[in-house]
Amino acid sequence: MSEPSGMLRIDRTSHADQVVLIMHGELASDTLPTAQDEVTAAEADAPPVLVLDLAPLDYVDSSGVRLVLLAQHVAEEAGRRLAVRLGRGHTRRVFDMLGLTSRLEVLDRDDAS
Amino acid sequence: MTAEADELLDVVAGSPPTPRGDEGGARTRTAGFQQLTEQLSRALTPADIGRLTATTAAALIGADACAAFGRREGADVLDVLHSHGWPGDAHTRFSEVPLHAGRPMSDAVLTRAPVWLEDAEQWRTRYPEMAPIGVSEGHQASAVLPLQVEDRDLGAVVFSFYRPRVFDGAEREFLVAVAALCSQALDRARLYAAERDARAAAERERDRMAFLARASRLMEAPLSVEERLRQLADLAVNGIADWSAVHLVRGSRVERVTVAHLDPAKIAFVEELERRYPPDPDAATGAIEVTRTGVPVVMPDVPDELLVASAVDAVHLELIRAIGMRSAIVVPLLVRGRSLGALTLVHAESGGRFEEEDLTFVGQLAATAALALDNAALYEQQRLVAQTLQTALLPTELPEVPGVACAGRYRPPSPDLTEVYVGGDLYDVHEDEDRHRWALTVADVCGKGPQAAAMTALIRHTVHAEVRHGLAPAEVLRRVNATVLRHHGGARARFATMAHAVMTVDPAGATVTLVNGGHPAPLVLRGDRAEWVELPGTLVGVYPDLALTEIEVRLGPGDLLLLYTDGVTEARGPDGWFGPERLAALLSSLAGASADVVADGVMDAVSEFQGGRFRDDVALLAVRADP
Repeated sequence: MSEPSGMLRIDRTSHADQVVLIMHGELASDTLPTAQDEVTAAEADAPPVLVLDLAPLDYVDSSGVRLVLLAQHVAEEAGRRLAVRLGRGHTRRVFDMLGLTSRLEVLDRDDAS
Repeated sequence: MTAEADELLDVVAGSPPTPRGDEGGARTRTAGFQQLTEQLSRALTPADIGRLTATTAAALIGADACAAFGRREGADVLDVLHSHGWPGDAHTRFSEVPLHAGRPMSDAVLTRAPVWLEDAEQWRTRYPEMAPIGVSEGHQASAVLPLQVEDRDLGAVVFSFYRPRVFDGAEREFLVAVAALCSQALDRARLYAAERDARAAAERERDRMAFLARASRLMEAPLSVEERLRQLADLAVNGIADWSAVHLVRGSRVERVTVAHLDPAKIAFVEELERRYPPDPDAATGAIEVTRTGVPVVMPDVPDELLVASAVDAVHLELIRAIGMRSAIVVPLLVRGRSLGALTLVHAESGGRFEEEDLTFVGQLAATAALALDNAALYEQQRLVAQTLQTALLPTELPEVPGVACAGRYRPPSPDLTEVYVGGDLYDVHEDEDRHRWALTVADVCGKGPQAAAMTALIRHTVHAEVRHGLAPAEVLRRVNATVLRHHGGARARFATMAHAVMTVDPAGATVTLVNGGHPAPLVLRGDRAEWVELPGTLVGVYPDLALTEIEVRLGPGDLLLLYTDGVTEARGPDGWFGPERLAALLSSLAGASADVVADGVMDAVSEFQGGRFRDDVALLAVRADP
């Protein structure tokens, strides 16, 4: 788990074939460095699947979206997978608006809750 | 009375009968000694002590003349503190006496022992060279005593007598006691003076540090360069100098940007003077020369010859003299080895003096100003770049569209940054002249700063070019996407969202074909009903293929289309997010208003919602078919 930076907390869990980073709070330009560090560290472990769980986030802005797009790019280049959880709230609306939901592997795409 | 004085008093009281040989004489001496002690204890300065020594002490001893000399620490010259009873011009001739072994006073100082000369014969025998002076005007005997305390040589005192005088043991003791008393007083006065000087120096240093701190704060204030320098000059005439001026290099010339004095009438006088006699830009003196050479100048005294030399004619000279410059210091404003100007400080009516040692302080002050100047130059540069870029990003004025009113607005995150901020938001209206159509665009580039601005400019110009080719909105976005990918590569460092439309105007309103590349949903206001134009689409600059849908929106008379960046809906205030619902409600409340009123109304509401502090930049474009 990372130290809370600003309004962002990140919990990390590792399974056999995947690393999950669960983000709480706000993912925006002021909290981006912390998130970037965690993602970079997770990428260094080269898990077959890296999951960014953004569902618990209260807020995400374009810098958070950029983080996801960059992680997707890194995974594609390395022949690995990047997946996200977006929940049904603000985060989902942001990714929907940007036309990204269909471009990402969204694990909770069809979840009712 | 001090312990030393008590001891000395014992010597005096216990001394055998004086040359006058009576008990009364001893009592008189004791009383006189006490009186001298008291007077000396009240004297503060070496000059006062010299005066008491040469008058009261001399009278007590019965000397006919006396001169007390002081010696500055380590100096090989004795300076007269006070002399009394000498005829003619002796006191001026001996105001300064170099130490010179083989002369009575020098011997007393250098050997740290009194020199006793009881009559003219002893003078001539022991100091043949000095005798003509020592015994001039009828003087016969002299007692020359060093003034010393512990190992400190403080000076010497000469008591002189018209009659030969036998300095026996008791008499010598008495004179040595008087000299010791004077020495102690002198030592104390010197310590006092040294302490006072040190305190004054410390206070001046403290004042100067405080002054420098104020100057530094001033240089950080959000003011223009000239205003800062003017306030610095104003600050300097509050305690540092009577006059101050700042000169700056302007192109090939050195110009005075400010002059300060506490009395506005005096400033007016100087300004009038310079109007009548414009300063010579090639002058080899003063601020212009210091700016050129980068070498400071200190003038403890401003010589009148300098004024004469710089005067054009007699009237000019008279006017310059009237300023009353007494002392001046001029230091260059150096930035990274380059001289950008000069700071001039002048003492006039206050009678203050600038010395070489003031260079450190004034140099620090100039360095503070120069640094601010450098920062300000960078700020100016940044402002210029920002303005240039912003001009490239936003239309200075939207084109007139017959039958439709357009209103665009842009706000950077902080009003302080209006001049230097380069945002990533844009709005624009382009005309496709060949097809009598109009293109509407609002875009938001992720990130801020010059790189975001460069991408914003790229988008704006690509849109402009593609619209002229008559492309449909979705195709315009695809061209923009391809161009951005080509320029920024596949690293996904930057992306943008865009709402883009093509509009044709007819007598009954306008038809708008909209496409949305990941942008917040546009709103249409019909009467007091706000409708969302839900339109999916992919953001620009990340994926080579875009999923886009075109949609046609009809604007009847008075209907309004609002395109905006997410700085509106994601504005955050004490009440949470501004959000789409609040925007829709606001728009409904603006039913019937002009495009300008709606644009201002939205911007004002977003500003107010955030307490005037914009978290993100905001761009919006309102287009309304004429009612």
